[in-house]
Amino acid sequence: MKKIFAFSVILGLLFTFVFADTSSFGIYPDKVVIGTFQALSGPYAIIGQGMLKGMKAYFNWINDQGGINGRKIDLLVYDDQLNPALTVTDVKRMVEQDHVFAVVGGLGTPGCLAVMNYLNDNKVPFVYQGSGAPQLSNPPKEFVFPVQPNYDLEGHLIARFLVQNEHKSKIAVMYMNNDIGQQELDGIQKQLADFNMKPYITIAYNPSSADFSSDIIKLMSANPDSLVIAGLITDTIRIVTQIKQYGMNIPIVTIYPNADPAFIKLGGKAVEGVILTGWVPIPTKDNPDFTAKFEQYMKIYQKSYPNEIPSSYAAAGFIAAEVFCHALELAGPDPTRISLVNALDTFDNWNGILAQGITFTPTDREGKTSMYFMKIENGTFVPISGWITLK
Amino acid sequence: MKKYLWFTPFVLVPLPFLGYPFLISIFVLIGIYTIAAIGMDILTTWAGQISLGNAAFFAIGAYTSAIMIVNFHIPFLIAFLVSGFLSMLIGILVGLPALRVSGFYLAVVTMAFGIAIQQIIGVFQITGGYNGIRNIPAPSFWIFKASNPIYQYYIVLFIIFLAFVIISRVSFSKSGLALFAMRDSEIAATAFGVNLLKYKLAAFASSAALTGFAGSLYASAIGFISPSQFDLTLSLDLLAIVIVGGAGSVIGVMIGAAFFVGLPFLLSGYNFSITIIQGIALILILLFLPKGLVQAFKIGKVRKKA
Amino acid sequence: MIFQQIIAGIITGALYAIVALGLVIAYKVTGVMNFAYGYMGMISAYIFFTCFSVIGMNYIFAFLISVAFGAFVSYAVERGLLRPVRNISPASMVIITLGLLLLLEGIALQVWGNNYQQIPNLLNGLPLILKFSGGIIVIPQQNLLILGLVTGVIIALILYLNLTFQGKAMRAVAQNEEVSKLMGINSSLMMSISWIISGAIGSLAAVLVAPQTFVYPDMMLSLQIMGFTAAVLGGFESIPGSIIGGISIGVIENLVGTYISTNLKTTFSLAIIVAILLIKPEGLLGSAKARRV
Repeated sequence: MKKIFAFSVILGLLFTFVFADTSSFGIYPDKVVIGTFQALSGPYAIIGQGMLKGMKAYFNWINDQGGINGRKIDLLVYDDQLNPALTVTDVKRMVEQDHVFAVVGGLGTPGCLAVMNYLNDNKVPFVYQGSGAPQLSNPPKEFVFPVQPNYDLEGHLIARFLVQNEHKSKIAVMYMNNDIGQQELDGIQKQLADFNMKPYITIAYNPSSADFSSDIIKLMSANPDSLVIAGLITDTIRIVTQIKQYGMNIPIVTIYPNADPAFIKLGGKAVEGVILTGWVPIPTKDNPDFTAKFEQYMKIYQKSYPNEIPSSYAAAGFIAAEVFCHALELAGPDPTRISLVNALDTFDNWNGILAQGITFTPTDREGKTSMYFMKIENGTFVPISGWITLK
Repeated sequence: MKKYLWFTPFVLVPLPFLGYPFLISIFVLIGIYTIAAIGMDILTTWAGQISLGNAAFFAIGAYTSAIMIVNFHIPFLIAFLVSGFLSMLIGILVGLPALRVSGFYLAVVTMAFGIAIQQIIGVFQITGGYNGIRNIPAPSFWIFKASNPIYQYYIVLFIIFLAFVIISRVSFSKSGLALFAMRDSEIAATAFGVNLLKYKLAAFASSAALTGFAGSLYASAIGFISPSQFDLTLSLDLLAIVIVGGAGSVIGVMIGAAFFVGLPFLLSGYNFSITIIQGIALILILLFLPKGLVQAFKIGKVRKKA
Repeated sequence: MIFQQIIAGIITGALYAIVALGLVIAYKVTGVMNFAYGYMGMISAYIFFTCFSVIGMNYIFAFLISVAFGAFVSYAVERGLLRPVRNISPASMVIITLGLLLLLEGIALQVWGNNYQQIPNLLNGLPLILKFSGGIIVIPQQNLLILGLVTGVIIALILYLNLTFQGKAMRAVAQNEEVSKLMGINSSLMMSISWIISGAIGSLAAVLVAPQTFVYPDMMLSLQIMGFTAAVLGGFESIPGSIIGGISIGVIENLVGTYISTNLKTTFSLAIIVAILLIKPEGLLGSAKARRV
């Protein structure tokens, strides 16, 4: 008896998730249902929650204006804790049960790589990945639209910048012991090989280490003339701070996830002079058009999250939402997944609020291939180059 | 035969959900974690050893199978068997130190092993480095391809059943008694002529083999593996499944796995940190149901005589 | 470079050592291995951040409040949560404290949000610069402070445990709870005191490393794993052992990173530690008979 009871309890629980609306494709008269996966708990929650806020802020703003073509955006969020085993089932749930129209802005390289083929095979548009993995855009896939520049490309650009613009020849690379670090290192090595060079010294590090003095002593004794740090915000700042304490004074270049107001706030004086790449423009005096747009972004964001300064992850989420909404608008009054894809493929150097210069074609799905370099001077980011591409 | 009857409902469970492949995928994932957690259970409950490194065996199984299938086009069944076997051999190697250390000392040794394997996988080319291996095909047997989760479900269920049959045979045999004796008191067990070396290594070997099999199934079911998936958290999750579900009983481990894998799906979608609920659940279960959730269900009579 | 690396290793090792020390004190008396130790410290770092940066309290005052808070949390956790289950198996102990860890991590995220926070150094003066023939080593004042505090805490603890009655009573409980009860020692009080000391040390460690690591839910992750390893390497029951364990790990890591491999640094370091444990299964300063587990 007890066994039967226990099983009926389990079955009952399962049925609660089963009987949901099954009308297809996520387009309803008054709303469009889309899904995303984010790490909202666990070690990466600090990134996932930021990105989700950016997305929500933009969708709230759109919905307050009545939505896109009269349809409000209904965003389903699943917390996969950046564990691809959960991502795979979460995404299946979105597609097979929730019947989302599209998946927008999933976070994390492992999860994105684990689901991209599934989404493509099921013809569900996958717009914006919170990942710079080159495999997303290469080869291009009909329903997958990466926006962020990939880390391999970034590695190429950084190496070229240091060799051609700064005339450096002894380039040291410190990289995180993970996928991002490895992809950046690969890009740098490939580009340097084109110049018949190679990194002067490479040091892998564990991003959660509290102290990097050992690595820095090693770096100092090698005596490079420039350093690339492929790390995220907290470890990069710790390394830069310790390098300054050791009195080393070489140009330091770091990667775009660090182009965040928090980098300056946390790094303080130590990060003065650090060079970063960026793919989201920054508001400066000589760029009044974008400054106005940036103020609009802050207004939209703070409408949902009063008095909060958005992180670079929030900016990423915001852009994901912008790209999707614009495509949805172009897809017409009765959008289908195919018309959304066709609409995205018409993006030609498209500028939204934060999103700038996004391009897709059916054969080239690297949404953003141009980046620029900036330097931290007197506590602000100052651009030191125009938009640069590899092509 | 009667003691295998409780398995029949599991054969029927997925039938009402055939229209919802994602639910079957969750069941598959629960099943895979169950297999790995049974491996953990053999070590923890049966042999009284603590391991914080079983994620490494999971990784070894997953990578062996994925490399064989993707790079060398070896049939799934062979890759599957080899991954369990290789994992077992490495399990014996790791088991050797276990003869010298125990308790938290062993926990550190196994944790070190887990962290090291994760790092080694990340560094080498054949494993795809930190980028991992993608496009691992679903399990296939000659021309039959188990890409539909329902087939994977029955494969996984069959393996759990096999594990259960073997375990319940062993636990009533002389070897099983030796294992329990060793867990309860090593000195006493030695006095009764139990060969500690043999049984401890056997526990490590079978634990590693089961976890390796689970890894192989995982790689084919998820289709993508990378080092970050096999971290300390996975080892802790496997241990937690055993403790929370009910150590020493296969159904308990199944409940634990369902709880651990299923909970995030039930709670996902509310903008609230799941870890708070997971944490409270772990604490409450250990405080009030020290024998695990199976105690609440009162269906854990699998090993009542032991 | 070898001298530089050894000194840098000692500085890093001191961080591991202080975490190991806190774990060992709690374990010695109550037999509970606290897997959430670092995360309890993390909460104190957030309390410091709130007092200092949000409310605007004076540094010393905020410091005292956060350490006192940490000590209280530790007391409450032991008394209310772990005391009833302190005789469960090591595996269950790992899992119940893992539950605590997840809970604390979630709470921090829910309460303090998803930004990295910063707290200032206590000592901000010029770093100590040592020059060698082959290079220099720079020790920020904050690290000197940590090194000094580690030494101070150890000396204070050794004096306390050996010279005061209460300290002797605590050692008695650690050695044999039943007998010490018969001798009229309030073992329950001794257990609480050991956790209060442990909690205070954990908070101290977290607040002192926070300027370096920043304040976020997983700030103590690496320190906690290394601290646990250091405690085991040292013998898990021995206070000097935990210090030696921590410092050895710091030095081993640096030498491996310099002379063997950077991308397999952790692997080789752990291999050396495992090798030491296989040669001395009770850890560097542990004794076989005092082993609880």
